[in-house]
Amino acid sequence: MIKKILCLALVIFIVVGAVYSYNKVDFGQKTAMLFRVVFGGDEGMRGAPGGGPPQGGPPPAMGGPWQSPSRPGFRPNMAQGPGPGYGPPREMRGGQQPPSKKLISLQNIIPYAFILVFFVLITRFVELIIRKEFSSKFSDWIIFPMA
Amino acid sequence: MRLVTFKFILGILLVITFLLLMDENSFLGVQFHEIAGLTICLFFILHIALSWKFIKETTCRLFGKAVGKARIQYILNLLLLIGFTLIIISGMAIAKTIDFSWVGFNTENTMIWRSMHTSVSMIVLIIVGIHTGLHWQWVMARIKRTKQEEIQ
Repeated sequence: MIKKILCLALVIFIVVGAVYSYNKVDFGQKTAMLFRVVFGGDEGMRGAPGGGPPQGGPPPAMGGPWQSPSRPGFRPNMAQGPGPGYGPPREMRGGQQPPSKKLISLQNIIPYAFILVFFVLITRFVELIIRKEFSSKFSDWIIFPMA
Repeated sequence: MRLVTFKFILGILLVITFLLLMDENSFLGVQFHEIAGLTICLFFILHIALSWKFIKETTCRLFGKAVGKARIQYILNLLLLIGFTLIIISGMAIAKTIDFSWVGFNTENTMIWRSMHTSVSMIVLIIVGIHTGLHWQWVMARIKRTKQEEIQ
């Protein structure tokens, strides 16, 4: 009984961890990245907040309408200076690399480990169901119709 | 060391190295990422060479009377081979610390190479999970065997 509860707790832990990791590492976006670049052109970029091509009409510096920074396609006038909110922090400017606090960091690896274990678990689950359902008919897994 | 035990340890090493390579900035940085990426290629070839008997037999039976599980494993292995090849080629194209300019990659398509490298890695991670799941009984049998050998 204790073993069953422990197993259930482990399964819940893995599933919750995998779902959290999926969002954390943006797994879906990363997986679809290639298809978006190859097949979608910049279609995918247009849907992104703040992305997309600039709208018609001349820029404000050339007599065009005033553009709100929150407007899609807005590009700041860099000739006036980027402003205080742009670029890396002051201490990291001037071509300096950010100081690495930890040389060996496994923090970013853990989400991927969760996703890997999740797929191992799913495969085992599906295999056990197939075995249970078809064990009376077949010796080992289903034999495909083409066989 | 027996061949099966070596194969088992190699499999574990492959999975761990692959996980460490999932984030280029983690675990000793980009240089490690690139060197280990090339090393995993050798591990992968060795892993295929050690499973050559299974590959040969399944290929012969693929269009005959083969069990469904063997067919799925074969297709997954084929996808893994394609996936790893694409990851290594795209990795060489976007390498920062090792010079692969002699291969003659088109540097204008860095965006496509990078997208390919990331996307295919994610897909391969899923396939590695399914591959491990399908071989789980073998993995557990090996662990039990190793424990018994340790006791004896």
